[in-house]
Amino acid sequence: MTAKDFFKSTAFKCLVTLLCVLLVSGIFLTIMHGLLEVTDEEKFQRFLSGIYDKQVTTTEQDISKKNTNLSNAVINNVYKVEDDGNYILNVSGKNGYGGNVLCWVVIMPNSDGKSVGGVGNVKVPIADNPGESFLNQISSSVFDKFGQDFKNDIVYEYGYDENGSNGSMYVNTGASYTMRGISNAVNGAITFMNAFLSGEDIKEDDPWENFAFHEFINMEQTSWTKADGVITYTVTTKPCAPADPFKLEIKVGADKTITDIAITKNGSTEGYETDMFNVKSLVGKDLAYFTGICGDDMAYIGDYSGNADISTGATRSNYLCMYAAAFAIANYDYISNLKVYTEYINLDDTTAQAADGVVTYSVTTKAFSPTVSFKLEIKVGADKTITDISITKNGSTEGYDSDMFNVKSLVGKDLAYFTGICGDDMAYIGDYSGNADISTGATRSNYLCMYAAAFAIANYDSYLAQANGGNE
Amino acid sequence: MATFIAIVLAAVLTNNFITVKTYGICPFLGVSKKSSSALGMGVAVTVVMVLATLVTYPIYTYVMVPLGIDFLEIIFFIFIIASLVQMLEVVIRKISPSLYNAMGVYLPLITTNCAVLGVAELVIGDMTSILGEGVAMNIGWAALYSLFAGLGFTLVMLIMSGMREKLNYYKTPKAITGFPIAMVTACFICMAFTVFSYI
Amino acid sequence: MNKYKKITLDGLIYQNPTFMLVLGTCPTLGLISSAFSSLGMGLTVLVILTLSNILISLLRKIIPNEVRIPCYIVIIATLVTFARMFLEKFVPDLYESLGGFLALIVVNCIILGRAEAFANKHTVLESTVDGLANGLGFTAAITVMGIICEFFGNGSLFGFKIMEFKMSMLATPAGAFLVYGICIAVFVYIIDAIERAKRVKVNKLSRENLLKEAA
Repeated sequence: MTAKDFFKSTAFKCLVTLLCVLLVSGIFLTIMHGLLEVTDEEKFQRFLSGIYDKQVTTTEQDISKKNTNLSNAVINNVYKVEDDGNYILNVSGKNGYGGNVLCWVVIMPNSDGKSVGGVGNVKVPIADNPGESFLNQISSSVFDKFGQDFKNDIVYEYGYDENGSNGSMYVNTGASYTMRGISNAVNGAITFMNAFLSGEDIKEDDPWENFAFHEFINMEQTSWTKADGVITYTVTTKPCAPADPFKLEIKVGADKTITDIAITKNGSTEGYETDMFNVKSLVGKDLAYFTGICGDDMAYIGDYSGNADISTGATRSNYLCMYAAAFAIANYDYISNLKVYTEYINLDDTTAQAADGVVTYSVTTKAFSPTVSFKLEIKVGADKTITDISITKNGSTEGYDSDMFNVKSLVGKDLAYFTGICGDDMAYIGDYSGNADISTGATRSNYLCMYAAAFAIANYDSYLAQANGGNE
Repeated sequence: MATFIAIVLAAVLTNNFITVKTYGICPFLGVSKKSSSALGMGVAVTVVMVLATLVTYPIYTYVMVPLGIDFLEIIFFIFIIASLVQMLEVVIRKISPSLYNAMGVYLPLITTNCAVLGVAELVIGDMTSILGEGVAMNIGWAALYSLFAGLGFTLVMLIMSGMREKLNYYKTPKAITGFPIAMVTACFICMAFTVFSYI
Repeated sequence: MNKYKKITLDGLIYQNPTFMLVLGTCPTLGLISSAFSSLGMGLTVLVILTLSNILISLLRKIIPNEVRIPCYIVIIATLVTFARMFLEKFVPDLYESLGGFLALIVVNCIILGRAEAFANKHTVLESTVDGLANGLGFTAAITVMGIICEFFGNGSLFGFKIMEFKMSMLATPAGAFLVYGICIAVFVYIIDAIERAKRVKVNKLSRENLLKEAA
């Protein structure tokens, strides 16, 4: 077939037609796409027109300086409606049915503009939440409830918990998981706006909130041991750029002064270590010394030029060391009273009396399904062993109490005995088959008793100190 | 493994194409008078669905999205499916005439079967509710989903054809003969499948 | 004029795509749980069908027979993509409620069917009328079923609450099949009855004429 034949053939005609049709379609659609594309801005305006009948002007707020990733939600955008002063937030609520739930939440500020005064419209666009397949089950009246139920301090319960027993009004929506995500979004929006309006930082649940001066301390990598009124800390600080984290060993004595301090890892920028003060110079100093230099809140102020102790040329490194020292002193009381092994102990129903170096406990454990809570009388002597133990209320499942070990066999045992069986963290591991002392057929009951005993021994010092402190 | 099971369950039972999504109804009503033809159609649809997904998914993800022409997806997909079906027909006729007799006759009908385009559109959308959180969509899951969606389609086709074969023994009034009675039959199959939505 | 009347009546009643030919079943069954989305789908198909009929009948002399199906599909797909963009821009509510079925209009057999069976053999004007008639027939059928399903399945009409009583089953695919099946049966029965009545009348007339002549 020659080229000429080819150009005359049907095949060529077909090809050209098809390509032309395709090309024209493609060009047409590309133009249309340019003309008709729906921008995010437009989507937002659509949402607005669902709330306000008229056109409103909004200004996006700068939230880059705030923590937008909360424990229950992520704040994407915040807009202020200029017409009535309300705020509109684009929030992704965590833990929905198919991941995050994207919500629009209207927040009305109080008249003083410093805190959240109410919740307005809550909208959850179906198109933006394809993972929430039951979203349409939630009737619009449920969304109105957010506004009606608003009290000054947040927390809408989403009606779903692990036991399925939560009496919240958001339960029977037909989409509990999605509702959980939406409630998280609204709660997150309120938390965020409270912080945003007041200009304060977000108060999230902070597991370390009882510790003073922990802002520059990496609490995850900080530990301590107590012995004879002296607390020995291994402190890891956070970085104070450009200085990297420091690691220090700090000893604080009963008079709440530094008895010893040493740097185990120096985070100073290279070349600056030599400019630092001698850390040993802090020995003997008390908290007032540090707050005198850095202020009562120990916040980093940058300019310490008035004080020769800290401004030696490596101010940031010095600051971190001082901060760690202040942390160690300020938390002395708290840590010496800190109870350990409390996971299975009902502290509200637990009392302890100290007399003549013997601490007498009345311990109530928590329930450990199917075993219900135990009550025990435990005496711990000055050598930190069990001197007496008895069960006053047996929580064993019926028929299992006879399978338990004889609790008196624990008399004379020390903490090492219990941690030897249950591990250093005394966590329940389920399979104790290797140890005849605990696996007598009623393992959970035995475990609770051992846990209570370990609790009693481990907290001997702090209860003793507490009792003595009370006498003074 | 959990994702695998989730996909299989969703594709075959909880999100069955016919009974829940109502995709692919034309062949479901048109080719379900006899079990043999229902099976042939089901297998043909399954094969085309898997092949179509294997082609469209990478093209969409790796070519169209980077080029910013994802708004042309419908044209591309339907064109790919149409050519794929055409090619498959030619190939099958060449390789195995017996297979062509069993399955090939249904192929031209498949281009306009919305189950195929439906699955191609579904897998490029958000599948988090099926995959579970944190599992990224990839071509493997996409192909698996379309395979089992096709098998779910075949399953319902077979159930339907079995029931319609039995129905042939009964005389029905003229007005409800044909499609109406088939629809009512389908209604009961759908109700039976509703049970799975509680999984 | 008679020609257009026949085309119109065929599209609306005697060859009604939904009830008589049972085409375009997927969107019908998927969307009749809500009257609003049914009406929206009907109107979208009406517009696309008319446009595609016009375009294809315009191009019927140019497109070679061998590649006509791919060409039709491309044309329809273009129109559908355009409709999708248009709805997303101007009627976002409808765009959301139609969901995946919007893209699936491409494979709606009504549109390809009319292109293949009618538009490629007839003039532009005839094709336009045919597209409008078939589109209206589809819209009417799907909307009627949408109203039935939504009224009994959800106790509301076009989203407005009317009564508390509801049979949720009718809002599921199972209910859609049931309503669809019953509607076809009723439609066929009525058409049949009318035809029979007409035939009886014609027979009677001719008999009378015969009798008159005989007399």
